Amino acid sequence: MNNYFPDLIGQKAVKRKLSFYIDAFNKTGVCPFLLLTGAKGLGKTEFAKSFGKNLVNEDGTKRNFLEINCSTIKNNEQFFEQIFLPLIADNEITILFDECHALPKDLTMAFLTIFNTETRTRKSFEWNEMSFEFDFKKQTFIFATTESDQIFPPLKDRLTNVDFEPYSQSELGAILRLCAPEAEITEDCLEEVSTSVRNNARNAVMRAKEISLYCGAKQKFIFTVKDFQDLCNQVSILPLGLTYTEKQILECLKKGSATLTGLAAKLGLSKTSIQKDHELYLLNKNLIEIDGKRKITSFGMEVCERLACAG
Amino acid sequence: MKRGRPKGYSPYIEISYEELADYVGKKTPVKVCKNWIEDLVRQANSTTKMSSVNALTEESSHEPELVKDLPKIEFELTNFNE
Repeated sequence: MNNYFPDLIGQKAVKRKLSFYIDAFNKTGVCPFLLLTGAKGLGKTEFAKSFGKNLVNEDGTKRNFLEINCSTIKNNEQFFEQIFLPLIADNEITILFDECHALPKDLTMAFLTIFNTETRTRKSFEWNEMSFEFDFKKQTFIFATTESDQIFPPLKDRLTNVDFEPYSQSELGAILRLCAPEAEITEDCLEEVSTSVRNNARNAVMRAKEISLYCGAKQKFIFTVKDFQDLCNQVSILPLGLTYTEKQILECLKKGSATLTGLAAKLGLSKTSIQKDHELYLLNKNLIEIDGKRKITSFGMEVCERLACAG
Repeated sequence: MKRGRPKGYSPYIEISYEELADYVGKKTPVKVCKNWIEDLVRQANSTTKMSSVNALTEESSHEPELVKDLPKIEFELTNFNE
């Protein structure tokens, strides 16, 4: 199998699936409409870009790549006027609709017609007394989102789903090493650092940048556990990469279990904010549990002690 | 002592546009009711007239939907051949 993604770590299933579509595209000139889904920071946009980089035009040149933030599209008129006519029509191009759950309703409806192609590779879309020609041998469409449940189901049915999986600790370690090539991170330190990036590849890239800056500033080439502790003190990195609000929740629950309302009152946060923003990671890391009330686990207590030591 | 306006008094009078034109030129500013002129233009349903209303109501927040500038879509175009 060709290695189309030499710079990207992990996501073996995603790589296999996308490689299959690249090979198929090179033989047939056709690619399905892809939908990349998964939690934030798993590399959906990076993979979409790398995928696009491997697509070749009829004349052998690499296909251009257009990344659109869907939350800035307001309606059909704006999309066809600002994006389709100047950039897509008659051009060989790959288009990524990032955060596609935020597509406006009228464009979602238009896409239902446009992407309902069956076996044809061309589609003419009539709107506002105008005709827009889509040629799917020239134009490759990719959609990406963290909120796949918010995509209109009939549109989702027209797309081929590529689902991202969480990164393992060793994969996060590999990302850290890849993104901080000038620093030699010791094995025990790598383990420690990779637990602080919250299972998130984007965080790993950012942490690697901090390590590079630290080593650059201190004129160091080897980055050890002691250096990481020093870095944590300087840029306020808590154990397991916890945020200060999550720390507060743990400290609050250390004194006794609490209801969501009680917790919200004590912390001065809204219940939704606690549920959506703060307690998910604590639950993921098995630091708290919910059994009617919120309770701290024994591992949570242990981390609480470490937080107290960390100051 | 009587105060105020007599019953039936109105500060407005109706005259023909032709007569009005005898006293004011084409470019003389004339204050008119915004709703009145907008209704008039809507009835006329003409693009040219609509643009003249825009000029009149330039600073108005009730700008007609048709001529609103669409906000820019955020995008990034990458050329892998460069």
